[in-house]
Amino acid sequence: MTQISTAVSPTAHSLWADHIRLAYEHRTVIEDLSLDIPQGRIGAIIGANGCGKSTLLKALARLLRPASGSVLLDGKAINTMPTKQVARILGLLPQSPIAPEGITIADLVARGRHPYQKLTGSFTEADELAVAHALEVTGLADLAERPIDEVSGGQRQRAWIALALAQQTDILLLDEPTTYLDIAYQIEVLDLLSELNAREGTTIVMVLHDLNQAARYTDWILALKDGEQAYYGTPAEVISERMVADVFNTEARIVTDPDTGLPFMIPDARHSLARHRSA
Amino acid sequence: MASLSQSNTQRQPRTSAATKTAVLTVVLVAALAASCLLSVAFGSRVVTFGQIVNAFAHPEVTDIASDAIRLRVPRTVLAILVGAALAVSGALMQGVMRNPLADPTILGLNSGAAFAIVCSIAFVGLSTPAQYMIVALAGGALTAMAVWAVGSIGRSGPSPLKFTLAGAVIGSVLSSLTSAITLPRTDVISTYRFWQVGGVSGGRFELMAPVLPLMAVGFAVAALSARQLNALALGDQMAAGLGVDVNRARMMAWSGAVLLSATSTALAGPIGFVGLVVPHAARLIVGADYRRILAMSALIGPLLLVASDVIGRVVSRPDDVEVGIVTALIGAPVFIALVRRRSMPEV
Repeated sequence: MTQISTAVSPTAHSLWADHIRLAYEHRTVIEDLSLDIPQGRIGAIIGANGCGKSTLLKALARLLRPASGSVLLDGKAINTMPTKQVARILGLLPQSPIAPEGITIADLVARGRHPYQKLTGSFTEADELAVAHALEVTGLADLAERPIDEVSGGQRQRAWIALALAQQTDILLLDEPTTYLDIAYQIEVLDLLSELNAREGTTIVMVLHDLNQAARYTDWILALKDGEQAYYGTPAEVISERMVADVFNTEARIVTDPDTGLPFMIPDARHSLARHRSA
Repeated sequence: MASLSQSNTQRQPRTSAATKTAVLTVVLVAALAASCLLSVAFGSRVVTFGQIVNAFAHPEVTDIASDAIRLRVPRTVLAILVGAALAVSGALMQGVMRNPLADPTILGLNSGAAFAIVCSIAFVGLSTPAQYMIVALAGGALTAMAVWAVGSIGRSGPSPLKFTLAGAVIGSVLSSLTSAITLPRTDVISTYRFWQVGGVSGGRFELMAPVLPLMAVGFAVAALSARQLNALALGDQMAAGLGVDVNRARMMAWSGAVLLSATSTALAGPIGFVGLVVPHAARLIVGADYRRILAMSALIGPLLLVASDVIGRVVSRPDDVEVGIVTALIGAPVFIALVRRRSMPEV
């Protein structure tokens, strides 16, 4: 198995899935999977619909307790740690969070400070600074007082990421952060996450659908097939014609991205090829 | 420093919104004070401000005016307590269910209390207000547990949608059973109908006293739930990611809501619309933060109930129209106006 080098800072936290079996009631989604999340790196979990990507992410975020095995945060079973303490180390952006009606961007982002507040406690200066910083790096400072239902889709997604940033965690898990966004916003969100990783050394794991984005923006990729680890490694190692056929059950050509030298996938669209050839 | 100037520019609009809220709060407090004064002064016999002062200054004097005042004071206090409890309970339920239509009536609690009352009249022969209070309290609490249990069935535990459905179903089953018991028995109906129309006219301090500690616990639980409701409002997964034990937070807020609604139903019978309408009005004023929504509900609820009670006494002097009828008459158009003014949030 490929070893992904880590970028370890002295404060870095480790996250490790140790032979986990994930199941809902009687349906087993993942039989036996181990994954050592490379610290300070960006990784993607890819795979066909229903392969267990989101389930794995939920387990890593302690939202789903493994039926056997355990997820270890700094060597301790994550489900036995106080959940608030975990929330100061590990942040999660789920696929479809709910924005309360009429909430302003600033108030939404401020809710990322929940793990730092006492039961009745008020906002401290550290909270204020964290929120201001999160608004600034996501470019939302000028929109802070705007209600979230009045801004664009890209700005809304940035606001959710700002909430996760205000949580100031060392590890950030995101479930399809680019879904429902147009291409410009997708790139914007991925660039934002890359900057976060470069600047603060944040460990990032995300579920992604777009293989080319996964190739360009990540250090490692895990491809799941039917709840099993099918491929794991650097983008150059994982993204191949064989993998696409194997994991997604479709034909594709892999060419070399002229800018980066990384693999670039061109889906094999037989119908459109036939049409253009005959024209 | 860049971040400092940044936070200054943000604070500007925040301050003006805060000023608006502060002014509105002062206006509402003044309106509540005025309603309380009117509540003590109005009735079949109108008393003057001087007589009110007199009645308090000389508790030994017993003339008609002083007696009227001494009856109206506990009635007003009861209206304040019940108004606050129902409004806060409704706000908690809406937060727990993430459903803007949740309130003690829709979630079946009032039907549960009514069913318990009817059973106690028909089969046990209870008849005093103190007995009704205990029965209503128990009925509401048991129904709340049943709603929780039914709403938690299934692999994912309690979810807002299952919860709301459970409340609606259990509520309508209990209402049917209540009808089945009362319809053939005129003796039960004639007693039950007085309880069924919620009102504060029977307010007496010695009846309220034993229930007050429970109500106080309900308010305390509400205050402690506020921040967790803020997290729950972002969705269960987001809340869990922020370090909230979702099921425990939901159970806690639900317990507070049940304590508040069951105690107010025990004290005043079922009073509709307060729990539904007031949190929406509060939201329009203070925004999406549950700490403020709960506090504002605790102010608007009493205002609505005291004012409704005064209106009920004024429109049909020398009789009373019970406050439960007035709140429904006022509440329905207010609710429609609120809904029209602003699109309802998604469930």
